[in-house]
This record gives sequence, structure tokens and C-alpha cells, in this order.
Amino acid sequence: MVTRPVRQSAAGDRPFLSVQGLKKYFPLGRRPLSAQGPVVKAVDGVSFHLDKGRILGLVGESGSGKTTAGRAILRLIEPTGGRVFFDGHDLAATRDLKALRRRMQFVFQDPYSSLDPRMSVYRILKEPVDNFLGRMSRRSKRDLVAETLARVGLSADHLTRFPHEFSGGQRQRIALARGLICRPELMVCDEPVSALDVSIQAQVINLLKKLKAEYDLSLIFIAHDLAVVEHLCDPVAIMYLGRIVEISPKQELYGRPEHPYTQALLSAVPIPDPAAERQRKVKLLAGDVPSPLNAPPGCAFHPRCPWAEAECRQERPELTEVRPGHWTACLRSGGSGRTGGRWPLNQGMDDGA
Amino acid sequence: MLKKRFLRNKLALLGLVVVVLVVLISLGAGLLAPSDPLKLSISNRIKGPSWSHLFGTDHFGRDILTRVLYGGRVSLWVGVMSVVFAAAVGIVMGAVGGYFGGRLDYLIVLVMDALISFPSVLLAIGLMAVMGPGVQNIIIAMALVGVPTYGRVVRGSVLSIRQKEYIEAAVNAGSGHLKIILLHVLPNTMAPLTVVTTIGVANAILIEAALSFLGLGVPPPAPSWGNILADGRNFISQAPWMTIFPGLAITLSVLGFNTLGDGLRDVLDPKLKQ
Amino acid sequence: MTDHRTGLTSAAAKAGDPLLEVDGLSVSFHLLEGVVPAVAGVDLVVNQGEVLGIVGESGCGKSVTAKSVMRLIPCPPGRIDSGRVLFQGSDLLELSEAEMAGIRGDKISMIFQEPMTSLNPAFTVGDQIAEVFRFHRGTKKKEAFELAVEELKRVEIPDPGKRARSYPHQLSGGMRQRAMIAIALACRPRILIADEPTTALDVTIQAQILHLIRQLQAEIGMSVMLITHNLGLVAAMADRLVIMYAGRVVEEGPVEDIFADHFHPYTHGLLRSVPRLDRPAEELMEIKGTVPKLTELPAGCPFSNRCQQVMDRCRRHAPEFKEVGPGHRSRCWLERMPW
Repeated sequence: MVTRPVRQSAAGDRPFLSVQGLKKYFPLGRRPLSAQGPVVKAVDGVSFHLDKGRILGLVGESGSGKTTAGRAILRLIEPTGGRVFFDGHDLAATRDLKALRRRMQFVFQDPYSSLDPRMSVYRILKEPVDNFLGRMSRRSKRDLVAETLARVGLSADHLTRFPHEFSGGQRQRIALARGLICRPELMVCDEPVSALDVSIQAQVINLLKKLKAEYDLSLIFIAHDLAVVEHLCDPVAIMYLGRIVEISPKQELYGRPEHPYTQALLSAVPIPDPAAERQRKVKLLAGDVPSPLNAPPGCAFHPRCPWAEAECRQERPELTEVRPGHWTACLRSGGSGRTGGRWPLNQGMDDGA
Repeated sequence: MLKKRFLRNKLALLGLVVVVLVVLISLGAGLLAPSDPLKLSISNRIKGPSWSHLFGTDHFGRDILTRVLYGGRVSLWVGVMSVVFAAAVGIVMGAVGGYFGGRLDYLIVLVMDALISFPSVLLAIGLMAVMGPGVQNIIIAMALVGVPTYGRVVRGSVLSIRQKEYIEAAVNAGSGHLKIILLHVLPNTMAPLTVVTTIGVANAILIEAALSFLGLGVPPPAPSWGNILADGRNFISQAPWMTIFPGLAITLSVLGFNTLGDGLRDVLDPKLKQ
Repeated sequence: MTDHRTGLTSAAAKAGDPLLEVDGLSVSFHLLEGVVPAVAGVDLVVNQGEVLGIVGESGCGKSVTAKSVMRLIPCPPGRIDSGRVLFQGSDLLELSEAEMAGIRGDKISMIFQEPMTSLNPAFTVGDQIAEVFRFHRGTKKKEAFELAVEELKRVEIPDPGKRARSYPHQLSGGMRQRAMIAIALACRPRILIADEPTTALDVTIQAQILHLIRQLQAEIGMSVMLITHNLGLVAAMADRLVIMYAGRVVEEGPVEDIFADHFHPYTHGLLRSVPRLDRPAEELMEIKGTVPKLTELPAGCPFSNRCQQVMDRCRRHAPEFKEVGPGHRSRCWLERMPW
């Protein structure tokens, strides 16, 4: 299957991270993938490029495959298909990933389960240092740990404590410190603020911005909260059932969304402003978020799309550039049959569960 | 925090006290015993409990108290060592199988299931019959019999820990399989393992007693609780003290270890959070 | 285009008489570590036909307050230290368990965040709704089940006849939440208490559920006590707002007033720290520090150790309520707002 490269800028040289047709299928039951049987297509052909120094937002609801995609990109789980090129290196072909791992780190979603409860903060932070910077002296390692901890806003006397002694926000800082300590160039953050209280979210978001500048990072920010993503990221990619349905520059996301799913998603996010809310018209989607176990044929969104036509059931849309840097995967956008206009009321509810 | 819970748990405390007492007394057998466990004294045969022989004497005139004390040493040594070996092998098998999965795991589970399908005492008897008597052999036989118990517990633990995010985080941090198993997986299996090994010692003491009772265990004249019981079997009506006291010793130790194990299980149960 | 505020006029015109009054409620938990004062002297009113939003972060006591109204707090380790909850002429805290059981599900209902754990996995969804009719109205089994199917239809579950015979695990998250709403609204209660009803749901499903609640509220004419940490949600749904911090109410008033003209520094911090979809470039304000442990609150105002505008007085004396607008009060010593 041909995947068209998706570029956000017109830079001449190769992109920092290039994901092409990434797939991750999970067989149900204990049979290997080769056997016939039900398969969960968690990620089904994801392609994008990331330029150095940018923050890509990856947004989706449950079943969208965003978390799986993030893990597959860094080869924390083995992709079923597709290629990932990190700074020119084909990650699938690389035998010894350890050297590359230092340069690309993953920050996990749940600060309660991604830290080993039996290890002190010092040992947690020292683990990557031992692995990647093994030749450093013991004292230098200790200094590095303390310094990184300070950068995320925690102090040296936290070093001897254990994860359960910290609040959610603090644990997330520790997880961030672990990701940063060996100075990676790429970081993939999986829902780093979803489990946190509102006021702590702001702290961690601001911290991320600061660290990105200090460490000169490129980021992939995975989240379901569009408001947070829109605040932090540029460009933003919307995922639905294992595929990217739209990639938009930040300034165009809210004002000019192309894909019907993006439109529905945007209108469903409540704005903390009663006056603004009163003026909005919510575009309600019928039915449930489908499961990747039985993805609909053709365009994955067609059962819930108010503008679906016969062709949408048959043909799977590819990402097409409708404006510079703005791509969407919809057969009806970009010129011909338009999306937009009245969103019909009470479409037949199709329970995809 | 765990210490606090432990100290509050009456069961665990009681068990610990009994176990410590039993261990200390056995270790101090040399100091506490009034006489030599092998010393015969025909004139003193089958005497009931008295001030000079608190537990009475046996059919060879040997002081039963002394024999029970020294026998405790052997029984405890056999019990603990067999558990140590069984646990060591079981941990390796369970960790490797649980962590790597696939065909290796399938094989390991097969072996453990095969072992566990034999009633443990019968298997031990069979092994002893093949290997011959001696404390070494007893330990080996009992260890073999005990491997699946620890293997299964560890494997179960490892299977669930393997799914945890901090394992993936360790891979992300560049750690290899061995490091992950040693640093992250095994320390988190310690809780259920502690409970199982404690109760395992209780079980081992019983099996050893059974083996010695049947004559397949510690060979006479060296005392072990089992063979003291065996000696007393023929004299139950005339000299019940020959069976009562070793029996009490076994009961007390087994109860102690079991209680400690139960208590530990309560203390370490993650569901019992305040 | 669907307008999710169908049938609702502005908050002021709909303000009815007080339906539920919480008066000086204090609840504490006696745990191994000590006594935790989860709720400390909370006053609230839910008026006829309105949606009252109770907003706060974790540990602020909003859930405990709601559960106390329903007498769902296990005592021990919980303990209602003082206060009254007045509803239809009686103090709910004084009622016997049997009397309270008659009220729950009938006059006041509650829905929770996680429908999977609130629904009984061993019974079909239809049976669970039918149970409400059988218990409160004495309806016979067969008729109650038929009514249950009607209720499922009302909450817009497709194929309600078939779904009534399904078990909770066979339904999706959104469906389960609808089923829970059906159970709660079966007897047309006067008040619905919704404790984080959409937090566990996807955004597009959240929009559906909120639309449903709004619709049903207008049809039945009931009041809703909406508990959440999501400021967008209350902006969309609520008529009045109560902001809680460390077990206390810190600000209260009509929703537009609070968003436009808030008085309490915590409210200000909350509102400014939430990213807004329509203003992506706005800087996020941070509230320094973290919520202190309820057992280690600072003296005086509980927010004093994090407040940017803290004064000496705040550290010594806990502030009292001050009327700052019609129906709008704030618990802060500040005379004028610096923002």
C-alpha cells in the first residue's frame, strides 16, 4: 500500500522522525498472527513526519490507537508493519536499539504504575544513567540525578523517598526527569497530564514547555484533551480507529477543521466560559466509539458520519493536502462534495459495540 | 509501614514468637540438653518423666528431652534447607517461564505440573527408596518435591508483574532482560514468596517426620522427630511419653510456621489498604 | 444543528424555591493515620429546577458532601460531626435507614463516575431498572420489566427490548452510563446528584450524555447537583456554581458571574489554569504548591499558603463569607480584586 509522505514544512533535508504506514495488529487468543482469526487492528497505517524542534499532538478517543502508535514508534512494542525512521535510522532494521534508545524516550501515562514501587527515586533515575552513560563516575551520576531532579522542580531530599510518598503531580515530574536525564532528542509523552488535577496540569504543562526549550526537544504529545493539545502542540494529528484522519497546523485547527470527526470532536469539548458555550452549537455524533475489533470497511468513520455516501463505504480515504500543511483523509473534502453546512439531527443510532 | 502492620497483626506476632523460640531452642540444643542424645543407659529404660529426665527415657534409656532437642536441629535443618533449594530452583523456573513465555514457559509448566501431580509424600518416598538414606538425600528429595510450589507462585507473580508499566519503563530506560528480572520483577514477587516459603517449612517438617517415621528418613541412632516417634510407636501403651513429646514438638513448630505464614499473608495482602 | 441547551432559558428566570438545604455540614474520617476533616462546615442550597455545579479538585470534599446527602458514607470510619440536610420538611441526617432507603432512588437519585462498578454485574440492566419500580412503587415483576424497557427507550438506548436483557459487561461505557441514568430517573426524582458522570467517558460520548441529562431535566423538571472538576462542563451545564477547597466552600454564585467576575483567588487560579479551546495561545497560570493534606491545613485561611494575594490577616483568621453580588458570595479577606 502506497503511503504518501506528509510534510509539515518545506524543508529540503530529511525529517527528524518519519513514520510510514505504521501498523500494529494484536491477535485475539493465543494464536500467532499468521493463523486466521479475529485481529485487533490497533494501528492501521499511520504516516507522518516530524521536524526537529516541533511538538506534534496526537489526539484521539479510546480505541483510536494513539497510545499503541506511540509505543510502536519507539519499538517498545514490535510493529506489525510499516517503517519508522529516526534521524535516518530505520528502527525496524536496527539490531541494537540501546544506543538509539538514549536519544528517544517515552514518558508513560500513569505516574502511579510507571514507577517501580520498590525503588527509591534515586535508583529510578539512576537506571537509565547506568544503562546509557555507564562510564560516568559514581559521583557524576549522583550529581546528574540531583541536577535533573532540580530541573523538574523537586529537591535532593526527595531522592531517598519512594513513589508512594509523592503526589500524582510529583510522580509525573519524576517520570519526566527519568525521560530527560540522558538528554534525549525525541520524547514521546503519553497523556502526561490526564491523571492530574486541574491546577497541577497547568504546572506540568508549563514545565514541559520550559524543558522543551532547555533541552531542545522534539516531542510527540499523546492526549485525548483537545484543549491541552491545542495549547501546546503544532501541528495536531487527529486519530480515529487506528488511522490519522486529519493533520492540521495549530492556528487552523479550531477555526477550520476539515474532517467531520474533527468537527464533532471540537464541538464536544466544553469551553470554560458560559457566554461562549451558550453560543455554540454542539455537533452530536450518533452511536458509540467503535472498537478496533471490527473496524467498518472503507472509511472507518462512515457509520457515524452525517455526510457518508456510498463511496465512503467502499473506499478508504488517504490523507490529502487541502491547504499547505493541512491534510485530511475524507473523500468528500478538499474540493468536491463539501463537508460543513447543517449537521443533521437524530441520525439513526448505530451501535457499533 | 509494613512493620507497623506486622506488629499489629496478632497472628503474625504469635507465629513469629513461636518460630523464634523453636529455632533458638534447637540451635541451643548443645547448651540446653541435659545429656548426650546417644548415650544408652539400660538401667534407665522406659522411665516416665521425672526431675532428672523431664521428658522421660526411651527403650534404650536415652533421655528423650535431649533427643527431642537434637532432633529439632535435624528436622529444622532439613525443613529449611529443602525449602531453600526448592525455592531457588522454583524461582529460576518460574521467573524464566513467566517472563519469556512461549515454548520455554510451556515446557516449564509441563515439568512443574508433572511433579505436582504426584502426592508429595509418595514422591519423596519413591526418591528416597532410589537414592538411599541420609540427610543429604532427604533434602534433595524434599526439594525436588517442593519445586512446583514455589515455581507456580513465582510464575504467577511474574506474569502479572510483566504487564506493569514500570517494566516497560525499564525497557525504555535501556535495561536488558536479566537486569529487569533481577531489579524489577523478583523484588516484587517477594511478598507472596515469603508466605509460601514460611508455610513450606511447616510442610517440610511434616514430610521429614513422615519419612523418618517410615524409616526412610534420618537413619538411627541420630535423632529426628520422626524417628523418635517411630521408636515410640511400639511402646504407646507403656510409655506414651515417647510419642507425646516429639509429637508436641512437631505440632508446635508446624503451628508456629503456619501461623507466621498466615499472619504474613494478611500483612502483605495489598487489598487490605486502610 | 443540535442545540444542547434546548428548552432552557437563563438561570435567573428559572430560579425556584430551595429544594434541598445543606446547613453547616461537617464530616470527618477516623483512619489509622488520624482524623481527617473531609468536609468542614459546608452550606449549600439546591433550588427547584436548577443545575448546581460543585467544582473542586481531588480532596476538596465535593464527593463526600454529595454522598453525605445520600447518607452513603460508611460510618465508621466516617462520621457526620454536625449539620443538617433539609429536604421536604425533614432533616435527612436524622432519618432512619429504612426511611432513607425510601428516599434514595425515588426522591433523590445519584449517578456515579464509573458505571461498571456501580451496576451489578450479576443482573441484567432491565432487572436493575425494574428493581427500582418494584421497591419504590410495589410494581409487579412483569410490569416493572416492561416499564424498564420504556425507561431504556427514554434514555435513547437503541433496541431497548434486547438491551434490557443484556448484562452490564455487554454494553459500552456510554450505554452503561445511560443505563445508570435510567435507573436513577425511573421514579422521576426531584433531585439528581451526578458525581463526575462523564469523567470516564470519551469526549464525544460525554457530549451525548450531557445532552441527554439536559433533555431529561427539562422534561421532568428536576434539579441536578453536578459534581465535577471540569470547568468546561459547568460552564455548559450549570446555573449556579459552588467552588470548594479543602473541605470548605470558597465561592458561590450564578455561573456567568463567577466566570466573568470571580472574587476568590483560588477560583481565579482555577479558571486561568485551564487551557481553552478557543484561546490556544493564552498562557496558563499556575497555582504554586499543591493541595495540602487535610490534616495539615495552614492556620487561618486554608488557601493562605498558596495564595498570591495573601495578607497577614489571612494567616491568622479564617475569612468569613462576604456578599459580592446578587446571590454571589466569596470567602476571602480581599477588598478588591487585582485581576
